[in-house]
Amino acid sequence: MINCIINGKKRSIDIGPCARLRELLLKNGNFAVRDSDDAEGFCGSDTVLLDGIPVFSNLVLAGEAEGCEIRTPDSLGNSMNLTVVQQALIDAGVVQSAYNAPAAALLMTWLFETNPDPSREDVKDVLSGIFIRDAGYEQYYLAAELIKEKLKYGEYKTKIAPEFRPHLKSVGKNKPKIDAPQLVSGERAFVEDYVDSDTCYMVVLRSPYAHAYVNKIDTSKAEALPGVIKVITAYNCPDVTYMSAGQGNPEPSPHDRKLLNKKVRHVGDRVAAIVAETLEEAIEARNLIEVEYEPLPAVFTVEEAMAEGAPLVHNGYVQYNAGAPADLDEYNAKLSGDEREGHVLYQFPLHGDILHNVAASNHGGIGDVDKAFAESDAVVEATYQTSQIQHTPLETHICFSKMENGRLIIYASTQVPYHVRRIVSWVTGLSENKIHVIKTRVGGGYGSKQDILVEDLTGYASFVTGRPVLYHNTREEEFIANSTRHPMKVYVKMGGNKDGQITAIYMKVDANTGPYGNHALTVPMNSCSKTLPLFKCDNMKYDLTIYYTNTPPAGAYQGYGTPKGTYGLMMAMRELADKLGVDYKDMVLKNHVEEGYMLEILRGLGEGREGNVVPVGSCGLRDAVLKGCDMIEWGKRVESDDPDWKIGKGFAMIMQGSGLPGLDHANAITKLEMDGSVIVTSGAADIGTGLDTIIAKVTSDILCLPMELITVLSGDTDSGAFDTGSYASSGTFFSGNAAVVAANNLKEKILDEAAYQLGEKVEDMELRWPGEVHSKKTDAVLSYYQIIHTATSGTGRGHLIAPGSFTTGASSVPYGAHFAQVAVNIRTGEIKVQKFYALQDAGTPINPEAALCQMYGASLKSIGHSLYENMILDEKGVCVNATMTDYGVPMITEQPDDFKAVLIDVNDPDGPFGAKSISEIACNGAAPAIGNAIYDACGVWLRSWPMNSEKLLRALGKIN
Amino acid sequence: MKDQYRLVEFNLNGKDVSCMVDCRASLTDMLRNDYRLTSVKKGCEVGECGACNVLIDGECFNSCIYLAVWARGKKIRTLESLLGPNGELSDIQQAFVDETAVQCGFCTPGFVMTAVEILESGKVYTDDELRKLLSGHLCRCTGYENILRAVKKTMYKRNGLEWKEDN
Repeated sequence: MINCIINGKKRSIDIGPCARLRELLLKNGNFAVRDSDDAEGFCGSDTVLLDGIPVFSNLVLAGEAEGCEIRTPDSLGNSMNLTVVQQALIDAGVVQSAYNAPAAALLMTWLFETNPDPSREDVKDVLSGIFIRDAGYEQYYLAAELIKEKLKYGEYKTKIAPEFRPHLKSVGKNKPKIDAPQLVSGERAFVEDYVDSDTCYMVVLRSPYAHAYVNKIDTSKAEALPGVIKVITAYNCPDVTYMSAGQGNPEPSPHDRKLLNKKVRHVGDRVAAIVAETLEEAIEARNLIEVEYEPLPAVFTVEEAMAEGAPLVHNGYVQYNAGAPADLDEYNAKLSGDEREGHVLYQFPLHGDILHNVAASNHGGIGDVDKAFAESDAVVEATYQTSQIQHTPLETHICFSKMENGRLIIYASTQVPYHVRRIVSWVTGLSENKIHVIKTRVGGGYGSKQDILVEDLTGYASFVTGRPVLYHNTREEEFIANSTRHPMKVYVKMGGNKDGQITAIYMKVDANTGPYGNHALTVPMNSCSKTLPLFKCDNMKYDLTIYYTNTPPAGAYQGYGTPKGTYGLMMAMRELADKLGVDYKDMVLKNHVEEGYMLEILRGLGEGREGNVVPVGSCGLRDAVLKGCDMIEWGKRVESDDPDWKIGKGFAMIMQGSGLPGLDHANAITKLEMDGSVIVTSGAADIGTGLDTIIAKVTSDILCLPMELITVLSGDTDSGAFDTGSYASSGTFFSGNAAVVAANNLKEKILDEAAYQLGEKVEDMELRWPGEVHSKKTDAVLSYYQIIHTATSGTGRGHLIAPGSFTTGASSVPYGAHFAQVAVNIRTGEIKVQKFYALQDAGTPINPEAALCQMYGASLKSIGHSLYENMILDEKGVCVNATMTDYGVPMITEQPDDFKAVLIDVNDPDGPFGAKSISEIACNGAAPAIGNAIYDACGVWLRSWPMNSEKLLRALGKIN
Repeated sequence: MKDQYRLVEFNLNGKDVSCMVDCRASLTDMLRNDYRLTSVKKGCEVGECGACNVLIDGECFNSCIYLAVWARGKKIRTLESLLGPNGELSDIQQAFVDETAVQCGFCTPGFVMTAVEILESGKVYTDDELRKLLSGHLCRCTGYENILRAVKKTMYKRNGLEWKEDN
């Protein structure tokens, strides 16, 4: 028994003194004290106050709390009664995916209790033990200002963010994200908060080999252990071949894996899944499983994969659902066809060649690059290498599933509820009506939760045992058995004339997709399709080849392939500008696309099919470049007093998409409830970005109803209607537009019903704030309450319910430019980002303050990718830095001192109220902006990630 | 404080378990709260409705008026123990489904546990005897007829007797 005071109440908790303090708190019900780092003491999700001092509760023994007073994040206000600190965090927009928001709120509360007038340095210091991946840290400084002002003057003095579209009441205004109160106060929100107490636990036995056959698995000792319920292996799991990418069906990704395979293809690959009554029993049983492996030689890089006679990652046989080549039998005869290999199924041709480890390929272009290069005044060429990077969401992948009356219920932390349902249906054989996917709040996705990485196995485990099952990745598993950014080798050749005109661009991209082909084609394709259309250039060509290897798997990651292509292209362009003697800024201004320019290059860059050739739509690119150049004082050299420090500037143009025209699809159902309030049931998957809030805002402005009277239910496959999910920057544009269509449809129904009830003509009716219909002819007024009450009475015409479906061929592209000022120390190699300015055209920013946080978060993430983060594999394919401390994500101390996000105001004709996407694009600019600035500072090119001191000193000839 | 909690060791659905319980807690509370055996229903909490019935050493009891600490050394069985390894229904549960003996379902687990005691006795009872044996249960939906039929059919089946519609 430990006796202590928790949040002001005396408690005696029956737990051993050697347990962690966090376990004691969980036992007491303080579930908002979370773990993000396998109790490593890095992320700060487990922060509590112990006798008034912040501690990582995972690193404190329960026994140490004897007689102590503990405060946890859930002791602050609840969602109906927020404290000043919690409200300020919400208002500043930092409560995004928010897994760490309660801990941050506790720390900020503690800061203001101990120091009512904290400086910027004090805020930095108190947040130095908190890892935030979504919103960055910049707006926490704003939150601190807001708290200070509220405590001092009773109101905010500082403007939170610019507001847009004065004629609208909700869209473009700074209004609290609707899920933020729940998140900041640490209420039930995430999958782990909904787990039943009789749950079983599942753990996975993972391969120690990068490449091996699993010839035999003896599970008898494990199964004999008390508490063990089921051991699932390749020898007793369903024989269903699929893949993990949550993409539209049929997917542009090869189906090349089963639930468990008889061949493991990377260190960390699934070998067996163990379900037991307790986690400890499951782990003990895992240790008792005996596996007979037959190790095979492995390949880890694209060079090794493409080498003559290289070991084949997939060596079974190939199948096509459509478009099989005539010589398929002949081709398959050259493969081993070993039963343990399984097979690779292409839903349609992706131009793969598994006999040469090629998962997919694509080649194309416009004009004649060879001729253009020959006629150019100057040509540059170089190869740029990007590294393997992990998303590191604070909430690692988790799934809780259970059977209820023959239905499989899945609580998922996912970006793609409907794809989860489909793939679990494939694996279990249950029809989709028997599967209920509930997307809870999601503690960070960034693309990694676009893949169905744990829901297949967890769902199947519940299905086959009939028991509730919880699966939760450790942080190590999150690194090695999840998905990562594709390492890519991007060769760029660029030609230009002395007037600064770019004449030709050639890109050769060799991408490493790891052992499985989820997103194999489409991620690398984005390195061209979301970069080449930045240029008005008639001669462009690309060759994309995607290789299978035995590294940890790659998959979708915010930015998709674009950050890599942008890195190569923008660095090459700066080099070309120098070679031609032209200023880079002038060259950018001369060559960038503008509204109306027809993008022929897109024809060959569809997702495995013919792409949409469209003209450039709304485009704030030039404004972003010009404004950014002014802000950073382009052309003005900055000198340091210390001769070792050299300072340079760089910038990059960026673009992305807003979903996939012709492929994505979103639906919403909007209902007028019995008192005149509204519930929108959306298929969308808000992963913390504020998508539900966007849906509420557009509904509010269309129906002339305050946001407080609108509830958005989303991500629930039982109640919603189909939505492809949150990826490819589609949320605002697709799911937002579906909500617009549904609200407009409901508006029509309300007007029609009001006219009927008033006995007037519908054309005389209009909607008015706050939720009423007004007759322009007779001045009669009916409130929504009156309308729906009559409509649902015993003689009424029925509930007013309106569906909305959105598809489009239009492509609303967000543009922007990211600027960096970097200081490099030519003696020590230290690289410091002094200034970083992100300027973006997101169309109408519907949630301005949240939009800024998305830009800060994604920019900082990509600064991390460019300078620090890198998964290092040893010669056996083991990731040697699979912990948060070793891996190296940016914390608040790594943030640029001068960090600004600027929204360029552009109104898009196709977006909901003119909005385009905002966040994903912000991952694209940092690497080339910083790379160009390093060159500007000291004259060397760092052409591989991470651009670190070792590489800098080597490039400067200071070390070998 | 010291005497308020006691360690109770017992066998629950075939597994030896131990639990620190409040001396004042009922067996229902312990089974529902500590083991989340939600088949044990709280209907009246005064031993009248039978919704909380469980088998204690083979005999059916109202767990709501049985103290948790009395469970020491006992073998307790709840409805959850009837399911097969992959969640399959037992014959008596299936009979309840087939005979439409389940409407709102709240009384069902208790009824089934009493039925298990009846069936495991191996005896063949008359209708009157069955009615008496099932009389500790309240059902507001079905009017009992289908429940009686489900128990009776299963009893016939288990004892190898031929079932006729006019039985």
